[in-house]
Amino acid sequence: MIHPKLVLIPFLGAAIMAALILAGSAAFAQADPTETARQEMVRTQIAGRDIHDPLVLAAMRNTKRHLFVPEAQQRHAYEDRPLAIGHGQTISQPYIVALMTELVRPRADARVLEIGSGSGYQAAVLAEIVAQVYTIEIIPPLAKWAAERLELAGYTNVSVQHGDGYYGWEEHAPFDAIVVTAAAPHIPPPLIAQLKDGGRMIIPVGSPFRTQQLVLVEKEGDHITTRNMLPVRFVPFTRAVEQTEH
Amino acid sequence: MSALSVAFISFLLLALQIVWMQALGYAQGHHLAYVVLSIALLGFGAGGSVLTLWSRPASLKRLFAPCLLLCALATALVPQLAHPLLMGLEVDLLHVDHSQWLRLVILGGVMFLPFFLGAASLTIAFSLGAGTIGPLYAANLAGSAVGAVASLGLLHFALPEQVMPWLAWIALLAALPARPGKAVFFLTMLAVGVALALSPPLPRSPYKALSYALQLPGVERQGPLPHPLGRVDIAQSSVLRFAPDLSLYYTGPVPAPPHLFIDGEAAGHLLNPADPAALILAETPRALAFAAGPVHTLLCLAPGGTPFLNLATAQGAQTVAVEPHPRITTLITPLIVADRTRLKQSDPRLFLAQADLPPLDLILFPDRGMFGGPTGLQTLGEDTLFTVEAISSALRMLTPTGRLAFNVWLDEPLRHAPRMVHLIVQSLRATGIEQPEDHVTIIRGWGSLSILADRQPLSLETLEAVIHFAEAKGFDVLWPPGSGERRHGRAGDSLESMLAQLLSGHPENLLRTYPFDIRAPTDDRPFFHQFLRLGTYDADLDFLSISERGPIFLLALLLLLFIAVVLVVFAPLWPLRASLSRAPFTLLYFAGLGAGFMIFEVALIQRFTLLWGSPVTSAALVITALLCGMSVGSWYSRRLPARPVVLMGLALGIATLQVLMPMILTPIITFLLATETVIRIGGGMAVLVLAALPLGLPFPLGIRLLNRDTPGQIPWACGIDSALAVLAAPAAALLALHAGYSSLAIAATLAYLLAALGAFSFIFRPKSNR
Repeated sequence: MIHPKLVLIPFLGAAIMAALILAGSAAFAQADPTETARQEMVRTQIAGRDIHDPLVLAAMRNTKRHLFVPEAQQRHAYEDRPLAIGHGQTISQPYIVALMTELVRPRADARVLEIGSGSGYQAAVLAEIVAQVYTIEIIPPLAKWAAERLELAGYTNVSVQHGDGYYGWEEHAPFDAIVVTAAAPHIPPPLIAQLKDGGRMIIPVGSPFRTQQLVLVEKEGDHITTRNMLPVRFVPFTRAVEQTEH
Repeated sequence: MSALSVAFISFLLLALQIVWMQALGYAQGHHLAYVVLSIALLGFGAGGSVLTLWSRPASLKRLFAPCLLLCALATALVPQLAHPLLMGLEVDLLHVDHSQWLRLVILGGVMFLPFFLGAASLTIAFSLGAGTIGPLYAANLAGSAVGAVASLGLLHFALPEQVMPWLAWIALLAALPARPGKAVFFLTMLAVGVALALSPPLPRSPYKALSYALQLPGVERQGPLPHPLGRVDIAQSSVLRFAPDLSLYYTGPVPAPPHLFIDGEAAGHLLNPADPAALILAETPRALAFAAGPVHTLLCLAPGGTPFLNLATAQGAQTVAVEPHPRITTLITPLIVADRTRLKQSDPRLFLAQADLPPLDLILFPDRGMFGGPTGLQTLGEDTLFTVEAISSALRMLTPTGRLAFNVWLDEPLRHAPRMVHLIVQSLRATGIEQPEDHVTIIRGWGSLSILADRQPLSLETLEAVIHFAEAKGFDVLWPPGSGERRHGRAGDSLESMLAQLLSGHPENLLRTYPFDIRAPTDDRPFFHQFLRLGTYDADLDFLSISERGPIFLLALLLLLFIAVVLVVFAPLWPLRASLSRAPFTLLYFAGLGAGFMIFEVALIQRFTLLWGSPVTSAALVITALLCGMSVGSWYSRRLPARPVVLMGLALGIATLQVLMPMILTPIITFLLATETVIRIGGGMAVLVLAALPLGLPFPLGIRLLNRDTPGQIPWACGIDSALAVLAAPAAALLALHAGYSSLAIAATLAYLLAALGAFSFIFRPKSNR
């Protein structure tokens, strides 16, 4: 004879399974719809192009690039190209962001300075890896945008400042690494001074929005060397949102 | 049909071309100059062809005034219609964003309207006045000539977008002799006035250097200062700094001087000699020129403002600085030390040809590469200062221990730097130096090369000075090889290997196998900024700027124009095709004339740029002189019988002239180069007017012949002439890019031989065609 309570077990099991299935479906429905695109981006555009640093790859997987572009561009956020973000500026192609990050060899305890916050995306990627990121943007609307985006994305270890990045951020110097995203025809002496001994700086050289070269600067005591890493094209594939008339 | 109306509308159409070229140069870039030229010619062709749809030629007369009025309205409305298209256009994206081509095509369609309507009115005038075509054609040519000169004159005082409204009124003036109805005329005038009043400002690409500078905090702007050589703007911000390729060891202040822009592109700096960092160039590779040895006398070509002049003054040199842009000359003048620096306003290449200076210790050439380059109507990257002939002439101006100095920014893939080195080597050889590798010094900062070319072999003393300078500043000495450690470069850097091959005397393998054409430019092929090889247009294109893609752009333009010619010039003439098939004369003769004149004009503009300095001035003056000469010839044509044998003789004579012109022009230009400005310009124009006299004869004589024989083919004749001119402009540019400007003489000769063949065919055409 079967105990009456034992009859309940299958029904209980079925109820538990149904609850689990329902919970799983709900979770799935709320999952980030861009996750797939982001993973695919890392697989094909980053790892597929010889970026091997596991910290960098993880950071690129975790950083939600679509949060750092204008809404009209979000459907292109994970494509293999730069995007215009207004004010004649761009968010770099994902590969370039990953490359620049890998080249400065970020570590968990590092303090990194970024000159040219732009969209805030590069700072976000760095923030996934290092202890603290300091980022400076000279164009006021972009500085505000970057700060808002970083906050929205949940980054608490990024300090955004509106100002002239030429002088670096002396109060927080020296830095283990400096990432300069705005092309210029010279490397500011204050940035070299604020780079730690053994530190690395990556800076694009060339006219804005044309072909540029990524230059890696390495500092060993008084000895400073540079290496041209590769050419990059900082030309957006889509027109800037705002135009200029005068 | 009033010759006065013809003259006015012709004035408008040519002036509109020049003004639009300047406007688009500011809005986007000067590589669009050929687009404007081609659209104008397309309009001329289509204007004629479409009128053939009118079955009753007599009704054409009623269209004359309306065409002129509509042309005025179109001229006034084009800025408004073009504005949204220009706002979204970015020529740098043409090779990656194909929607930009659609935008460019639509923009072309909008700009096409006034040319089409103006040309239609001209065709009406020619068709109905075919019996007196000579004076009408003369009015056309004379009006065009005046339009070219007048537009240049106006651009001295007003910006292109300010000149355009006046051109719309010219079209209204053209309509007056045609006696349009009063009501229609006044309504049109009102509409033109309203359109002009609401005309939007000219948009500028946000990717231009000026656009970027104007976003910086605290920026102050002066200008724009109008000029045919390009409008000048000045922008200054405390964060807009100047320190090109600064030594990584420098820890001092960096100046933030006013930056100069020509048509929105960076063009120099007004660094005050009193600025604490006025001598910032001493911390860059550019100071090599002074580090290598004492400099007492210096010629500074196109200095790009004052920074180098400050350094020269501090070094105690007596400097002659040659600045090509008059506005910038005016801006520099208050900042120079008068007893140390003499400022000359001249085209640098022209100055080199004319200068009567004592031998110099140093001649400094302007920067080239990513941050350096000419601005203006250099659509194809022509740079007459960087040719073997120019640098050889500079070498001959030096003292026995003198040197030339160059700076070139490094690009990737390497292009400008190896070309510069090959150019220097070839120039040294051209002056009889057999081992140029002993006369060259090269140092490298992290972003650029500085190169010295000495008349004498490098001495040990000079080499030690160079090495000492490089060590102190953290630069690398790349040549002579083995002179110190390497601080800059990259793994597998091919730069030093390329230098070794170029300087070794056996660069043939490198020049042949390198993916880019890095051969030294010559006056015949002065394209310093074009590196694409014929047939290898897919090689590493990603990293080339739009201005380096000249051949591809021209090819694409040629294709688009071919399609447009078929659609708007030949398609309307399709109903008349039967008559054409019986008369190859019309096709061959007028095709030869259209192509031949355009090729001839392109070749002359290049030749006379060497004589007159700026391409803009050269283009306007060449066009003016040719059209004046042709108008006189056209006027005279009425005294000649319109017989096929006469036409054939003329075409053969002009073909012969094409062959002889290079030989005739060379000694004339050499002679005129040494003369005063008035004689140099007047003499050159006189030569062109004389050469153009016979060119004005064939077209009106051909029209008269058709008028007598088969008048229904006159629209075809106009259409074919224009169509071939449209296609010949970019085709001539492409030919020059690949085979040099001297090849254009051959092409023009062949074109006029084609016209002779056409005339020959008329003589022996079947009796059924007569």
